[in-house]
Formats: sequence, structure tokens, C-alpha cells
Amino acid sequence: MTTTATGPESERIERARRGDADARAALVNLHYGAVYSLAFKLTGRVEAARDVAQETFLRAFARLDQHDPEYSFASWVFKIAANHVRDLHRRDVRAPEPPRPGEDPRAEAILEKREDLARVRSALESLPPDSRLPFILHLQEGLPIREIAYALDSTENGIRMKIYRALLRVRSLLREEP
Amino acid sequence: MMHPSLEDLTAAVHGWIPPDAHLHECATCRTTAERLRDELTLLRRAEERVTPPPSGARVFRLVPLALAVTVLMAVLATILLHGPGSSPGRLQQRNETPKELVRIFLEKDDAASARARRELAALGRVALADLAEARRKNPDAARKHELAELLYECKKPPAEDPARQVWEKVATITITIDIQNSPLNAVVDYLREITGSNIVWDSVTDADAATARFKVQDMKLPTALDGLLIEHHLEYDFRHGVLFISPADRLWSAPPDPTPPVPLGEAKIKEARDWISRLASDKPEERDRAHSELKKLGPSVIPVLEEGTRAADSEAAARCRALMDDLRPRSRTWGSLPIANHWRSQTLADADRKVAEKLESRRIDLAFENTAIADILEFIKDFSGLKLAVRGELPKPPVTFKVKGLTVGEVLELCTLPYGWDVTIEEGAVTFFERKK
Repeated sequence: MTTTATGPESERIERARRGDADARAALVNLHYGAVYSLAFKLTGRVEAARDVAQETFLRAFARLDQHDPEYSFASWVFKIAANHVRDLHRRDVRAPEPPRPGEDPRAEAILEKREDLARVRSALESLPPDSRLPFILHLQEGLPIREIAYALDSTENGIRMKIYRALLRVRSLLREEP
Repeated sequence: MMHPSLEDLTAAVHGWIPPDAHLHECATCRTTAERLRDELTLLRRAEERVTPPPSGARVFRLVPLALAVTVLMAVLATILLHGPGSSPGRLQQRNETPKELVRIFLEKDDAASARARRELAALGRVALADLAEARRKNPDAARKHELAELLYECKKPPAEDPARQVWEKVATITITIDIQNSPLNAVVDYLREITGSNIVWDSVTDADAATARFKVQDMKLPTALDGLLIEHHLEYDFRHGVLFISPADRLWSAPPDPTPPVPLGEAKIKEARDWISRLASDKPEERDRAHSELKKLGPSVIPVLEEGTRAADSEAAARCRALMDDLRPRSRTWGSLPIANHWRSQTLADADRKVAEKLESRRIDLAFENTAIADILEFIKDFSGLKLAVRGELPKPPVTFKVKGLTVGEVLELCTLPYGWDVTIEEGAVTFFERKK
């Protein structure tokens, strides 16, 4: 699988690198929604999500030279957004919840189709940020594991493990609820 | 028989490892894999993107940075080439917002206005919401023609965008037309025919119900469209390869909600009452002047107009009511439309990339009247040979949709985004899903 930024995107990045405001606006238009959504899910606040999204693009444009063309622009901005949210959490001194044991190999633990979306969302929201991040990038954006690993400074195996553990936790949470 | 672990089955369903051959032989594991697929679908639905609320501040912070970097680089280049001090005062920090630049452009002297114009033109699409807002609020501005020209300039799509050709073509068309009391959509249908341009309505506009009188002679199409649409609180932009008509809030990130109007002072109240008394004048020119002067006072004059609605003269009272409707800040009914379908920013695997290439390369003509979107998609599916999948139920109300020579990707954007739907590419299928509010 190739995930290199090619075609119009790499041209756009090159133009943005040269300071072309049009190219920068196009990159913001294309990726703002995804970054905002990621930030909103991690912070739970509209204003904070807006700030994170804006700061993410400011940082991305300030350091465009550091963008690795082997990876998509999307995973590059997710990487910056994720780091920024981590900083915010550190500043808030809000310790992430400790992971609860949710390992359950039984097939019965698998989510039933009838589960209400709201319950699933609430289970997802209860995941600690470290597990939630790869989960969002995998499910919301459909990013390949390689790109998620790049965005979160981790290994592909580490990401797979995190997603699987988060999945087990969601299954376990949904089983616990009435 | 050795069954794969739940972890391995999950990994296969999520596409991390190839599916186990064992699945062909074992019905139990196939059922489990099927349930895991349902689980994945449910999780994807639960984890769909959250749409950002409309905000004028969204990209504004980026633009000063882009400009600052450009200016800084220009100054550094000058210093390197000519030595320090060769261009005194070049690095002058300016932090005006687009709104402030628009005000300078409209109200200040020629030199300041020209400078603001240059900066607004450099901002391009980012300035559109504020420019459109300024035009709505200052219909009689001294620089209204320059404002209209700047608005059109800022709508210019990037060179690689197919809508750029439409923008260039529309600028060259001159029309003569005389239509009295016809439905607005009929007028635009006629414009579409005589100009040969793809013009598409946003679904939320009430184009069937609104009537328009439209008489122009040898007028440039952009100016004519402005005259036709502004009256109905509509704007147009160039996107998805067409000229797209919609309320300004839907087209561009809307500026923040207006702050409450500042109450008028005694002198202004007296002046407003005087103009209101002239709304009942027998002389049409005096009535028009009174109407125009009251409008200039903006929403602050609404309490005085309210008094006017209780006037003895029923005609003056009716005019006060009409003015109040016109001046009252309109609450935003819609969120801004996404600029593109989700698949355009997806990172795609090889098979999905082929689907995206097809969406970008196949061209199609459509002419549907009062047709369900599901039927339009059925036609697109037959025409393109693409695999289409729908999560949920597509909108039912019939739509009218006429375009020529658009790519399938652009057509799908026009068929989904105005209706709160979006398109992603999943496992080789073009998948439709409803965007969350």
C-alpha cells in the first residue's frame, strides 16, 4: 500500500511551502473538518476544538519543511493536533483514566447490531485519550495503520495493540451498561 | 479443527492481516467474522466526523501568518540583495482583520482603500464572507461597484480547480434580458440556457416560490446575477465545477453573529422620526429618499420604526414594517457547506485510489426534474460502473438537477453536500453517509 502524498496534494504542499495563500487555504479547507472533529472528540469543547484546529494549521504551515512526503498531509496535521492536545491535557493536569481490564476473548462480547449508537458513542468517549486517538484515526478517518503510527510516533504493532485493547474496553463497557 | 482467535478475526476484519483460509470451511467463524464486520460498521458510524460550527474566525489567524511569512521573506531578500536599511519601513506589522480591511476599503481615502483592496484580494476566499456582509449592509456605498468587482475577484478558484474555467467564462458574458414576475428558478434556467454555463441551486433556497423582475441590457453576467440574487438574500460562488447559488452563510464561513445594535442618540431619533413621516409623502422620490436614509441607520433604527408601525397613515406603517423586516439581523438558519466530499481528503489504499481516479476522470451530463436522489444515484451507478453503498436512508424530496460535462465526483458533491450527506470510499465502494449536525 502506498500512502505517499502524490499529485495535486504534493503540488499544493509545495506551493504552501513557498507561502502561496491560496494553496494554504485549500489545505485548510480539505483537512480542517477532520482535525476539528478529532480535537472536539478529545477535548469535548467547541472552543477548545477550534483553538486546537487553528493552532494545528499554524504550526503545520510554520514547519512545512518538516513534512515527510512519504506520509500524507492528513497524518502530518493529525500528528501536530495530537501533540497539541497532549500538551493541553498536561497543562490541565487532568490525568487520563487508568485503563480498565476489558480483555474478554469470548465471541459473545462482540457488539450487537442493535446497540444504540448513543451508547456506543458514550463508550468511545470514555476511552482514555491515549487509546481514543488511534481509535479515532482508524475509524473516523480510515487511516492505514502505518500512517497512524507515524502520526502518533509509535510502531505499527503498538498501534494495532492499542486499537484492539480499546475495542475490548468498548465491548466490555457496553456489556456492563443496562 | 483449529479456530483462529478472536484477535486474529478482528485483525482480518479491520484489514490488518489477510483473511484466514479457515473461514471458507468453518461456518461458526464466518458468523463471528460477519458480526465483527457489523461491529466495525457500527463503530465507524459512531465515530463519524463531527462538523465544525460555522465560524468567521476559522482561517483568519492563518492568513496574517501567511502574509507575515511572505513579507518577512521579501524583506530578508531585499536586505540580502541591497544591504540593510535600503527599504526603510517595509516591515510594517499590520494585524487588521478582514472585516477591518473591508471597512477601510469602503470608507477611507483612496490610498488607504487601495492598500486594503490589495490585502483583501490577497486573502481571496477568506475575505468573501465579510465582503458579502458589507455589501448587504451598505447597498449605497460610494465604492459599491469596486466592492462588487473585488467580490468577484476573491471568488476566483485556484488554477487546478475545474470551476476556474466557469469563473473565467462567466466574467466574459454580457446579457440583455427582460423578464417580469417569473419564478426565480425560471429566470436562472433561462440564464443557464443562454449562457451555456452550469448553474446549480442549493436545495435550501426557495427558488420555486420567489418571483423576480429582471430587466438588464448589455450587462456583464456577474453584475446581472448580483442584482438578481441580492434582493433574495442569495449569493453565488464557483465550486464543484459549477456556478452555485446559495445563501451567503452556506457558501462561506459566516462572520460571528452580529453584536446587538447600539441605541440611537436623541438627534438621530429625531432625524429618523422625520424620515418616517416622509414615508407617507405623495412624492415617490421623497418616499424613496426617506426609505434609503432610514436604511442607512441600520438595525439601530428598528425601535423607532416600531413606533412608525403605529402611525395613522397605513401606507407609512406598512413601509416601516417592511423596513424592519429588512433591517432585522437574520439569525443563521444553516451551517456552512463543506467544500468537498470526505473522499477527497482520505488517504486511500491502491484499490480505493482507482475508485477515486474514476470519480475524478469520468464526465457526465445530467438533466433530471423532480427526481429522487436515489434515482439519480442509480443512473450514475449504471453510467459509471462504480459500486455504490448507502448507510442510512437518502433524502426523499425530489430535486431538479441539470449539468453538463461534470466529473462524477463533482456531481456526487452537488447531490450530497447541500442535503447534509457526504461520500467516502470504503473497500472499493463509493459509500454515502449522513453527516452529523
